Formats: sequence, C-alpha cells, structure tokens
Amino acid sequence: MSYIQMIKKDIEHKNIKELLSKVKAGDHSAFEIIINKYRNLVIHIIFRMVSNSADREDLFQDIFLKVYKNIKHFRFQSKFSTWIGKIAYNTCLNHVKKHRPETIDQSILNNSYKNSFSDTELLPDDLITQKEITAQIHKEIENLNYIYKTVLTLFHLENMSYKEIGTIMKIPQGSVKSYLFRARKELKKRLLSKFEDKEICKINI
Amino acid sequence: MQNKHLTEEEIQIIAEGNHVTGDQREHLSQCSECSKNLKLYKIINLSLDTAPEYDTSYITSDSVIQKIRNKRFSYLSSPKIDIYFILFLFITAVVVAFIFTDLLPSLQSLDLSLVLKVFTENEYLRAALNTLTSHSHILLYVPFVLFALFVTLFFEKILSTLKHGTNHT
Repeated sequence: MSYIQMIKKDIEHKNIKELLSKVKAGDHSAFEIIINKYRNLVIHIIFRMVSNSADREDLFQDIFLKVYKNIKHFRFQSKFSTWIGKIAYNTCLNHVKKHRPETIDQSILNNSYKNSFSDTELLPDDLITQKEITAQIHKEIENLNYIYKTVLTLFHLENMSYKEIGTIMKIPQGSVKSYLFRARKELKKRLLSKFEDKEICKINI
Repeated sequence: MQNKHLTEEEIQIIAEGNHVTGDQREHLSQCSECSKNLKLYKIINLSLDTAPEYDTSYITSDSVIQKIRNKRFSYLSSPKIDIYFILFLFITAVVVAFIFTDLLPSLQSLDLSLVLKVFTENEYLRAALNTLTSHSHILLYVPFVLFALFVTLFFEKILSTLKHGTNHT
C-alpha cells in the first residue's frame, strides 16, 4: 500500500469514526450521510440477489435500519463497508431462502437495461461493441446463482479483496477465489454461446 | 517457450492485471489460443467492472430516516440493560432476601391465624398451606427482584435521556 493510500485510508477511518459518534448521539443527518455513502454497495448486493422491485425497496430499508440499530455494536474490527456488506448480504440471503423460487420482475429487468443491447437488434455482420458485450454479461449474471453473483459484484464493482468478501459471505478466501474463477468461466461459456469468439476479439480494449 | 497451454485460472489471474512470468509472456506471444482466451477474459472483466444501469430512483434514504425518526427505532425507547446491571440486580435481591428471611418467624407469628382459619377445616388446603408457608421465603425474592428491575430501568432511562435527549427530534 502506498503512502498516499495509507493517508487516504486514515482520513477515511477518522471520518467514519466521527460520523458514527454523531449517529450514536442521535444525529439523523449523519446517518443520512452514511446511507448515501454506502448506498451503491447495498444496492449492488440487493439488485444482484433479488429481482422483485418492491422487495428490493423493502430490503434497502431493512438493511439500513439494521445498520442503525446495531451501529453501537460496531467495534472497528473490520472495515465499516465490510460490516455493512455483511448485513446486506445476510439480509438478502434470508430473503432469498424464504422466497425461493423467486419471482423475477421482468419489467424491472427490462427497464434496467433500457439502453442496452437486445438479441434482435444484432445482425450477423454487425460489429459487436464492448457496450453490447457488457449488456449481455449483465443479463447472464442474472441467471447465475446468488453466490456467483455476490462474489462478482463485490470483487468487480466494489473492488473488495478476497478477505473482505470472505468475511461478508462467511466463506474462506480460497472459496471466494474459486467461486470467482468459476463464475467468470461460466460467463465466458455463456458469452461464447451467443457470439463468435473472433467477433468478440475484434473489440478494441 | 512453455509448451503447455496456460490454465483458465492462470489466464484469469493475468487478465486481472497481475504479474506475468517470463515463461507465460513468451507463451502468450506465440500461442494464439491462449492470447485469444486472455483477451476474452479482459473483455469480460471490463464488463464486470461496469456498474449495471439499474433504475434505482425509487430507492431513497428518506424512507429510512423517516422510520428512524419514529420512536420505535430511537435509542431512548430501547434502554440497554447490560450484564453488570443484571448481576447487581440479582446480588441485591439475594442479600435483601436473606435479611428478610430472618424476619420470617416473626412474620408468621402475626395474627395470620384469623385468615388461615378458613383453610384449617379442609385437609387438602391445610396441606397446601403448610407447603406454602414452609417455602414462603422464596416469595420474598419476587417483590425485591421486581423492585430492583424497576429502579434499574428508571435510572437507565434517566441517564439515556440526559445523554441523547437534546439530539433527538
């Protein structure tokens, strides 16, 4: 870790500590800052694990209410983001277990990718773009199991380490790595069933 | 050159931007299969690093804050009774009960006989009463435990109000 990164981490730690003491003292605006700061992390976990829009909204509220109620027990033994991620993952996991098989809200799924690629738009001779691949990958992720989805989300969208992901999901680091490799391999397989590998490789990155 | 193809795992590690060994670099420069596979994973990673375009406009912090403002979620409404208070409570109850059980004989000698006369005619009631009086000291614990609990909660609430009261809306 570089010196600048260490300083950034230190400032971040102090900021969080300050915010938490304000929340513990009953300052609601401080908690609103926390919600907005960790909104994306929680949303990414919820949206990848749960498809129903009403449930997503309820889960968002439940997760942050749990964070608020338990904030006094947070002892800085892990990063605050890991702690929130853990609450979000466990809450979604309980929901998924209760509501299996899940009903997929197709309208949300369609709205989610409103600007993206659909199968009918692509002609064989068209050049595939990175945007189209991304849309297809996101579509395929929806069909993976929730462990793969969560591992991919936390690693790629939240830039979390294997250790942090392992803490959130209560699995060993080795398993995180293994799930991540298998998930990407599965995505590659599914992608190649839709597109020619030669076409994909024409994309400039 | 490394003759064996790189494994999927090795290729994924390289695609993440990790260190490539000399052998791996040499193999990749000469093996179209592995370099194509590497490019595929790089493209996949690029997609995975891009956040999906979810419609999240309906999810706001307002509803959470609104619920928190509701008294049900304030710290004031859920005073924390820690283990030391519970311990204190039981020790107090035991000590007080011991003191008062010494007074039990004099308590029994009071004019309770008038009230108990009703029971003496029925032998079942008499037996039940005997059992009750022989273990009556246990009953003394109940009011003292309740009293100690009440005092604890009362002070906890006052302390909590002093601490957070001014910040709550």
